[in-house]
Amino acid sequence: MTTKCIAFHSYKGGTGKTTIASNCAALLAKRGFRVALLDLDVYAPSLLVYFQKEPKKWLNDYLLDEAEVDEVMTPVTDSIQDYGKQFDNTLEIQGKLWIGFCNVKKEEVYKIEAGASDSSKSQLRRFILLREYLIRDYDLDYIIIDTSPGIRYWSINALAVADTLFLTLKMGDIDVEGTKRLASEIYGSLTKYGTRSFLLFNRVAGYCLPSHTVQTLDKENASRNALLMDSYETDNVENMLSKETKMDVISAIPCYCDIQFSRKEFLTALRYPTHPFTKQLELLVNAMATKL
Amino acid sequence: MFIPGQKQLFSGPGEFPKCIMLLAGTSGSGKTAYSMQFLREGISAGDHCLYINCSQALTQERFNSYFAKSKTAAKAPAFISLFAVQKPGASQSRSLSGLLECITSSLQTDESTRRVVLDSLTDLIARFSNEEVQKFVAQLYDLLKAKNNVVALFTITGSSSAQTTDTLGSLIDGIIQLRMEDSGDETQRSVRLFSLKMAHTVPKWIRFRIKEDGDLEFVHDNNLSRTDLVCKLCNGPIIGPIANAESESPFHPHCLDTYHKLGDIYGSHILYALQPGVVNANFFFIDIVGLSDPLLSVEKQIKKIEDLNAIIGSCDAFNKVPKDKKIVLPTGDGMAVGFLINPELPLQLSIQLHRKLNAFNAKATSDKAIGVRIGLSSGPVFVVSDVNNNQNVWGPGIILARRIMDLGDNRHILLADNIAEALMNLKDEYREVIRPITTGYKVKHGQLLKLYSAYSQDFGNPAIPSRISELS
Repeated sequence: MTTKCIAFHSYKGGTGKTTIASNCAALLAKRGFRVALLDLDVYAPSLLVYFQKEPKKWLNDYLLDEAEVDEVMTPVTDSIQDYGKQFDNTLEIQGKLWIGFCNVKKEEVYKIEAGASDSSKSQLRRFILLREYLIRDYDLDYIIIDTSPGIRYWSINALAVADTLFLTLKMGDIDVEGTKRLASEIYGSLTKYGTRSFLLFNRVAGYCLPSHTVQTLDKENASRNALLMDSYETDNVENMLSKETKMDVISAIPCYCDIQFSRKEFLTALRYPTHPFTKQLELLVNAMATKL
Repeated sequence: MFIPGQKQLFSGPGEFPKCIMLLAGTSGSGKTAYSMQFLREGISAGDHCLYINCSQALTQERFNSYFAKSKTAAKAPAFISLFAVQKPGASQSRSLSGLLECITSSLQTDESTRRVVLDSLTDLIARFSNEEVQKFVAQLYDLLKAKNNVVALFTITGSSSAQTTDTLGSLIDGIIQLRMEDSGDETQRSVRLFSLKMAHTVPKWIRFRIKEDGDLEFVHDNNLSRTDLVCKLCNGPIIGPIANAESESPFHPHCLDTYHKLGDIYGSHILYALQPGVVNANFFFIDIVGLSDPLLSVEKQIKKIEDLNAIIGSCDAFNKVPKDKKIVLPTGDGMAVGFLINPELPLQLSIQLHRKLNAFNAKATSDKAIGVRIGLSSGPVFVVSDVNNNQNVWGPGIILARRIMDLGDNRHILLADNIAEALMNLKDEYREVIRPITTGYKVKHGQLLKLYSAYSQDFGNPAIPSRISELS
């Protein structure tokens, strides 16, 4: 199959981009796909938290021409398999997952330049080249990019490189208005050259389920219809925004308090394979396979 | 081998299929030579061949001469001519169907026919309507395909982008392109497999030459291999499909999309800036005001230029910058300096120069005093070699600086918005001396400029430039 390059983006921070991107990447690898996950949230990298694996070198090093692609793409298939087996001893990760981590150190963040300098152009060129190398040398099915929120130099670059955009948002006014702004100011420039863009609603309110219900849901009951109650307001916002931005909704994931207020980030898809959030992500992964 | 140069032309997986191809190229690109090579190779391999002639200029006798030197005892190609089947008084379309009947008969007579050349469709288009020719090509294609094991070339004059060629090419299995380039000393011919239905192809030009005996010789020139191409955007080698292959700016297909997207968001300057061979520079453009005054002798004009050059050369902002970090271009009555580092340098040079000129002019007589106007801008430029093989630059960065300077009067230090705003964001001291003077001034080609002027007590000119005040 042709490599699909998907960027998760949002107008504001805190919409769950990184959580969804990380879990989707893990689920895709579990299903047998070859996946690369790139941390392009260069100003506030956080993928490290989900995977707990120290890379040999960082994406920053690659962009600064101080490392090669294979030095910065950290293989994590074995480690997520070991992690998942703690909770499901039948788990077999059928595919492969590599991650390009971004360095959190402030001096390294400063080096990743935004602007018109020759160095920043060189970094951008290296980033574009990274996609070509990943497709050529890693035989990937998916490249998933976690981006910085808003209209920022590196998030725009990531969006330009991707061929599909998932604009993650919550239902609040700020997100909705910001999404409209992104759609009109940025996304149009991308879609006119073939990029496909989708709205991905996350933390949709009004669906909180008692935790004991959550834990005991079986696969059949875990479909979106079973989990989402009809909500005039929510559907209305989805439809209105979809119409105004001319973007289809790829998924609407309810807010789960145990995920939202968890003190520690982890790969829910592997830790709680029957959790409704995981089931929602599986539906999203299905949609990625059928709609993209 | 089914087609000449097949090894170089076809790199796709699997075998080269038995197919019916359009052989398209401009006049003189070698279509006939390629077709004859195709037939000769067939004869050498023991294939039975058929040549369908549609040109009045080619007789069977002349055609046979192409094969007189054949070293094999194999049968020479069968020869069918449109003009042999075109009966006097018959309608033209009748003769086209007569030609088809004749070909059908020949293929039935010699069922071992493996190679067919039709030369050329251009002659048919000149004599019949497009619809008639298209119908004929479709029927001939069906006829040859029904035999399963025939490889055929239909020649046509023109490029593959021409509508007729495109339409006819879509009726059959694919297109082989030929081209001819005149490199001055010699004519260079190339061929490539442009498209082939149901097969993955990477079009790449393969150079060939026609030897004295008419045989084709394919040049194994590594420089011509498209696998050596580098993407104009990411600088990575292109292995596989090429976007923009026809131009001098090839891309990975996806990179071409990315290139357009970035240009749409950031503006076209990013496209210049991302191209290898392009540098971003901060420009200082200066000329001497009133140098061409006829009252001033040439000797004094030259002295002024020399004095100005010496003063510029004495400024720290100029002489402390390494040679490889600046581009200096004399312009006759002034100069352009492109700094490849720090955007502050053009303004610092302007300020230092004005202060030195103040001292110089205070001691000089009026005919020796030097008045200057300065324009500053930032932007990408191409590094090019001039006729003397000296490094020169050309591009939006330097052009804009020149246009800005042209708006100024004596002592003006005018700045384009890109450099002015960058400096004001950088340090407070620049906010105190750089002031906006117009929000939108149209220059050549309708380009709208937002102008700033840098001035203080001992440098610059606080007056609005006369060209701008005249307009307002």
